[in-house]
Amino acid sequence: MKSRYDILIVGGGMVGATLACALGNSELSVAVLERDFPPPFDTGQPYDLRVSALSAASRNILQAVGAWDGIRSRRLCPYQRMKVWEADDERAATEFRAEEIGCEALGHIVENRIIQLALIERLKAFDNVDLICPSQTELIEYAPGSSLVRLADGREIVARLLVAADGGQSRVREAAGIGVHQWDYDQHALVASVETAYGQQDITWQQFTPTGPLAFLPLGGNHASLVWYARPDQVKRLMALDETAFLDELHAAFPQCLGRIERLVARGFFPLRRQHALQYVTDGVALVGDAAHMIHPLAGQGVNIGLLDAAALAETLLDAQAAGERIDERQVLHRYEQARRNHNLLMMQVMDSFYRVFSNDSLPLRLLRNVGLGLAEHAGPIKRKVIRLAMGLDGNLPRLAVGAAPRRE
Amino acid sequence: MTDTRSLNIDPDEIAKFEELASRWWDRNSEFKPLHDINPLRVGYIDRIASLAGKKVLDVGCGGGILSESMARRGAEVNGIDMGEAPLKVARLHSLESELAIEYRQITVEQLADERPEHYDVVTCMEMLEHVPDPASIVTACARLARPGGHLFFSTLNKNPKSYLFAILGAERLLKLVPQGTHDFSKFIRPSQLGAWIRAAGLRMEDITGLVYNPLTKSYRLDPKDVDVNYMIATRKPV
Repeated sequence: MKSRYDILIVGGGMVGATLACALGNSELSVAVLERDFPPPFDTGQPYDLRVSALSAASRNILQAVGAWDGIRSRRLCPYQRMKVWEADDERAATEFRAEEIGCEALGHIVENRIIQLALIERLKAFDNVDLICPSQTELIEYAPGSSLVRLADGREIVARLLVAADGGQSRVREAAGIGVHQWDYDQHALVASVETAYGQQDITWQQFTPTGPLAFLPLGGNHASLVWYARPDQVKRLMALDETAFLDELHAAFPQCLGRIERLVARGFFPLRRQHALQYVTDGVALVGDAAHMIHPLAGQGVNIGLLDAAALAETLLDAQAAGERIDERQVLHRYEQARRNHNLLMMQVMDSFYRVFSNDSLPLRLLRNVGLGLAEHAGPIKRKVIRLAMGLDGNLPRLAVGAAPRRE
Repeated sequence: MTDTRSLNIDPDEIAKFEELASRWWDRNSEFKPLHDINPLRVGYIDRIASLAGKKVLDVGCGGGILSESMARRGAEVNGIDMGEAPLKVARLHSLESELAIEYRQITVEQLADERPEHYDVVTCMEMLEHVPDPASIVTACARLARPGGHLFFSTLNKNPKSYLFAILGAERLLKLVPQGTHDFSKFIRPSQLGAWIRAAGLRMEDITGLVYNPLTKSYRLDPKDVDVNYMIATRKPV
């Protein structure tokens, strides 16, 4: 006998699991397919390489779906300040402070695995949500209102709506015949998890250099995550160095304020790609997170806009269900696309202009951006607007993102 | 050798599809449009008739594209066609897909004598425009369905727009299907098909168009545009 659900979410990562939780306790039957459980958390474990800077909006969403406590009880690092400046001119630095907009924190750095663990723990509590894990997807047969997914163990699941939360190489997107625009940045991101000589920091910073930005993300205690954006050949060379030589390079390239790095815990790298689906929805299919868009990770917006997708889609589906509409119809799903696609496109363009303007040594551009950053420091209302944009609190937001209930009563 | 003159088939039409049989499951072949519209069809059928656990007959099943996707949704499917080569392809492919589908070379009229009121669902897709006497097919399909059963018919409309799209567009300009696939004189207006459906004692329940957008290269269901390719859902009264 086949299992039938209203909604099948393919991919139980941060975005897919958030969507499942947001649909919890509704009248819709939901299943989530995830390949493997993330390894359980233990306080003695070293910090993972994959971390996210969760915006205030993301925190609101995770809180509204009931996963924030699970994150806080494990580990996270809030930051109250964010500073951006250019390598050769620290005077033009811009510093954003949470207190300026009356908030406790600008955001939180959290390991991706911890976010996923908290969400999975939460979604298990919902009667209308089934987690199918571990599972391996063998075949996806798209049919509007009746799509079918066959797993490697022979189980078959039919669903009215398929949600692609299966990443940049989304198989659901492919099965539905939705194309993408994409191009690769001539830049890799090298991520290093390190132990510092000083204690926990309340600031995250980014310094722009002609070869690419350098970023510091605080973790708990004397731990931190460093991101080094550079040309692919340079990243490969850095990855091949032994720990001592690597730390020497790190100290030479990163600004003074980094302080002394005592130990390299782990490092890794990934190529940077921009990719945007030509459409987010079609009859019986909706794309969320990386399946819909991959953006330059510079300001750490990838996960944040993915969580906004999840919140907006949940809102569209719950409203449609309450109004007695068909949740798998393109006209209904189109409301979700309208709420998200332009916002995400704007975020991509902003990241692109950062990449183009800052990974560049031309003098006029340098003057321009220093003036720009200097202005940002002094222009009160504009600056507050910039902070709110970076915190994900600007523009038209799903109700979950402003801390409201997922459904309008 | 069967005498084809007494059967409701057109040997020239059968020969067209025999020739192409080996490419039936190749998504980049002449059959690409069939693969592209199949999701829309099976979605539509499953939504109306809930395929799981049902006995289904696919009339004019060809290489089994629709038969297989209905079987995947839990239906017990029989497929019939008069082309021998496509049936061979269908049988081989169902082995590969590990689906138990019974395929037979038999006319729908003959099967109706053999198994009256046997099926919960009967589908007859893109076939009426290829036979000499479509009304007889509709009647035979109606006999095969049990009272309360669902029947689905799809075909091509007959008007200047469908001529432009199906013959000039699909066959000659866009080359979506092989030239000679369609014979305009055999296209059927919804009013004509509707008359055959009523004459067979069936009740029309829904009609929807299948629309191709050459710019985005995608198909969609549109209940308001039945100008070219359309599908009718009917039911046999209890």
